[in-house]
Amino acid sequence: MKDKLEEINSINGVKTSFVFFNDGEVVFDKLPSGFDPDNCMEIAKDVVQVSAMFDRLATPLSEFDFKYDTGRVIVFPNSNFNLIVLCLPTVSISMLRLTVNVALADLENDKKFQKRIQKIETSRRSFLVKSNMDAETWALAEIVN
Amino acid sequence: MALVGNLKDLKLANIVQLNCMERNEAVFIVETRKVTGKIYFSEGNIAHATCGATEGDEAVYQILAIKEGPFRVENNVAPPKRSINVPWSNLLMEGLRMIDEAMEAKGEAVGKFTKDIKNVNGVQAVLITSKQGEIMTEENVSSGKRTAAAMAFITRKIEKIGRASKSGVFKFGIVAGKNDKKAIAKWGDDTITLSIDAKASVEILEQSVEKVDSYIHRGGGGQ
Repeated sequence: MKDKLEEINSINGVKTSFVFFNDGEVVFDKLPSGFDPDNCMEIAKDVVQVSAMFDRLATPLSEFDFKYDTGRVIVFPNSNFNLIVLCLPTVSISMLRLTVNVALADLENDKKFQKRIQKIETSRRSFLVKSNMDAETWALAEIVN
Repeated sequence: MALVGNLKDLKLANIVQLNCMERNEAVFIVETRKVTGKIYFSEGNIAHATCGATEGDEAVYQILAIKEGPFRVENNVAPPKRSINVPWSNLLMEGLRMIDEAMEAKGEAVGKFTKDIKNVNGVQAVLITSKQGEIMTEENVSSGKRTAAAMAFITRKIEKIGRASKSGVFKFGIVAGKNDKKAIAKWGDDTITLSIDAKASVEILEQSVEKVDSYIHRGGGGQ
């Protein structure tokens, strides 16, 4: 899987990319300087909570793209894992989508990866728990419940 | 012992009143992600205030507009200078009047923006929610209260993702489902959510929401 992430990371404007499984495991190829695996975990948990919230609204997502003033976060959610790409605002989106689609198709045919996914029984919903957020955010989650 | 709390739980007007009436020599300090505000009390009045680079009366008005943020009141702290000579009650009344005016202007701007954006090709529904999940306006939104809470939740998470990924301040987002898309943007502390179909141009929507502040500054007609 790391070779797929390496391909994505080589695209101009991509800072890094990583895969996050629903059981909490993060897989990355290399991280930018000043960026540690704890950052990946933080981002991954919040991304999964966003996906889970859209699931609650009965609008499961196939992609989300958040633009910030100095960066861009693009996520390709699947039922048991998420592919997350952190980029600069100037990234070539068409090139990125093309590379990601190829990588996701390759992962579909990757027996080791598929075996890994099948072992995961944890759902995204399990991340929408009180212990994973502050009181105000949890109050909002409870209204949606 | 210093008084500590959060402005979402205790109104600044009450803190000002208490410190002035008790003639405390103290400093009130509030810190948000964007700015630090300080109000110095002395001899039963507000003697000095700073909010970021601003000082004097204007700083008090800016601090009064802060809705939430951790604060502390430290006793026996003298003001470093005197920048305010208006009685505290006049300052409070003027500050609160300005907040009311700003809220009224925002309400009008929300109405005008909603009217304009729902006419943009491909926009199916419009929802504007506060940070706390209150509905400010809704057009064609099902389960409004629930959706509003969900969007406030999601916006908090999007902002948190931005900080953790060192991407900066959230501007605009697209979430794509199997059958529809949503465009999400910030308007001050509030969140704009647009349900859009395949006819919508993401670029046009992004440009429209980028101009949203002009609805307040120019009294509407941001297009």
